[in-house]
Amino acid sequence: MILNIIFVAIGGSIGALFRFIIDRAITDRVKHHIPFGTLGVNLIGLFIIGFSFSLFKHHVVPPQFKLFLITGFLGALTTFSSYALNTFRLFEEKHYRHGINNILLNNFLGMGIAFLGAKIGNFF
Amino acid sequence: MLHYIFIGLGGAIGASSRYLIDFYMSSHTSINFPIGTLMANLVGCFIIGIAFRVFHHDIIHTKFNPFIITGFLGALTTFSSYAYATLILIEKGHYFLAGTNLLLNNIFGILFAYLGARFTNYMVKKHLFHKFKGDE
Repeated sequence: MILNIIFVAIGGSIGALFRFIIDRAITDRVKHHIPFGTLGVNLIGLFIIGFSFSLFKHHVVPPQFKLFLITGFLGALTTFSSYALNTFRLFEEKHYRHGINNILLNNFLGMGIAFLGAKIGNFF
Repeated sequence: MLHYIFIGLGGAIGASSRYLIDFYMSSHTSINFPIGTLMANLVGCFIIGIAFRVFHHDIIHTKFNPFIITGFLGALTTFSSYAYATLILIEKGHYFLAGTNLLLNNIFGILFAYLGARFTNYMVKKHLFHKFKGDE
């Protein structure tokens, strides 16, 4: 159990750092009401999670590696709290259309990309 | 550099907390539904609402922002597990559960962020939270 937590924690710290770096790189380049930085990390994480689970179906990997990658790294790379806060803030500032678009992009484009990742992962 | 250490540390604590919540929920419930991820997301959304206004009102110094918001709350909540679990529910033909998972995470997540923000505003108004600036 302790060892499992350590794997999750290491993945989590790397994931959070990657999120910070990618989020800032996108936000510095794209100025928009919709928080494209958070959307970007979520979409990247969703592609990798779809891809990884397809790989895990065809290749044997140790359960600790899954904890590190899926629960730790990808769990922390993607985020729900910033997404929800940003959406609430868009509604609060009456940017209703951007708020709705943010919800649709994260959820439906996100699931589409996870599905795509899973399909591509099946080739490997 | 300290910035990165705070984010990494917050991320490690946040991800471990989510793992423990998920572990606890899945060993105490036997339903075919990603309840652990939902719980971690809703808790994180409520706290981020509180924290956002707490920083806004200078109740906690903004130097703690990377640790709490980017690190801890960012890693406590997750989009990848939520969306992938929803996709799996759809794939298995559990459309109702998939729709329920989508709506519960999104509606309550955004609502809880709002309620967290309202909570801080209420505490500030009642003078139960104190600004650190000017008190020193």
